[in-house]
Amino acid sequence: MSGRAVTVVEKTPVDRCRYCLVGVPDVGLVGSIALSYVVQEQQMAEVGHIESDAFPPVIVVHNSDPKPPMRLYSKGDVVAVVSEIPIDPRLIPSIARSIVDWAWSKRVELLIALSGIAVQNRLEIDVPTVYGVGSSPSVRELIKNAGVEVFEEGFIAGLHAVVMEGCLKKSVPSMILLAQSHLQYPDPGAAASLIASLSRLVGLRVDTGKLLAQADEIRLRMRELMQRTQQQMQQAQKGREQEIPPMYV
Amino acid sequence: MASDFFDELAREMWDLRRGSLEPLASVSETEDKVVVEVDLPLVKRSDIKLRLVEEGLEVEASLTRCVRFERWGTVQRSCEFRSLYKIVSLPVPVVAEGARATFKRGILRIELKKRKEIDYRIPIE
Repeated sequence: MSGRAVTVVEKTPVDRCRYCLVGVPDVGLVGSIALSYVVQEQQMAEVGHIESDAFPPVIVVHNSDPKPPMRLYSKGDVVAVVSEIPIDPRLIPSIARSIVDWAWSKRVELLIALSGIAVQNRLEIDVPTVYGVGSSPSVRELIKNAGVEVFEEGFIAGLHAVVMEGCLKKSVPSMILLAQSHLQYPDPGAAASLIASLSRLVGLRVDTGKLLAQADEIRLRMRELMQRTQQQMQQAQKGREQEIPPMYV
Repeated sequence: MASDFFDELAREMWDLRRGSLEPLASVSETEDKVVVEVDLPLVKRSDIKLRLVEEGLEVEASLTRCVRFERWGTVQRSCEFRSLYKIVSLPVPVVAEGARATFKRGILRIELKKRKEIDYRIPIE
């Protein structure tokens, strides 16, 4: 299993991390779009990356600068973990463990994973609702106070689900935010809803006007990543999210 | 994993000669219908052309403005695209009659009736 070992590498040492935000390609690319926009608008600095021998042999070049595709950004007491490639479902446990262990070692006060929840009637919805899953009663209190709907019942599948599981084991306070979204089309509108909730929770000031104005371009630009993510999601039991859990029925 | 990854990379979602990008599409089936959805951002309803062709459903739509992707792709510095184009393959034969299409928030949804099995027996002489 050592081949699947995943490590968080700090290029610039992170000494303060109150909030750790995680957004990787998933349903409607909502978490990725939201977090990349926050990183860009807040001008967060690149501080590290996540590496593994099991990752695909790829680097990303931005402005002639080669970078690993999974990176850490930081500003003040906020650290964001983003990925420019879809996550292979077989690597989800190792990646989740590395993120949770890292967050635990930094004594993170709240880990927030951002994603979407596919809804069939997305076309009828103007402003998508955001649902929150909290690891403890006090986190659920935070969710309610931020005006986010508490997610009551259902399955959640993906990296954010396994991160939550790890956080429960290690008692790292954590939260999953899920915006109503398209399943297989990039959904900047859902990302804007996530950012609004995130702003209230973390106290960031991020204006989503530009994001919504560029929504069509983002939809065009993200097609390929969506297509590849779709293939990975099929392996990650995403269909489960539409099922009713059997307990207590 | 690496080989899957390169297979995916190799599949292009654009056509330089045509100047078109391939839109995202999904196909689902009900008992008597095939439902095709195509994501068409930056498109006006009146600019969408739909045609049933042998390989499937042909969707063509000009973009309301050309899209230039700066530093796009691996080697090209930039490239301009004028339209979205895709032939969506269909799981079963359909008929053109009774097809319905709607376009809302940049998503095109087409319902096509499945072709009924024709029970034609060939007589043996």
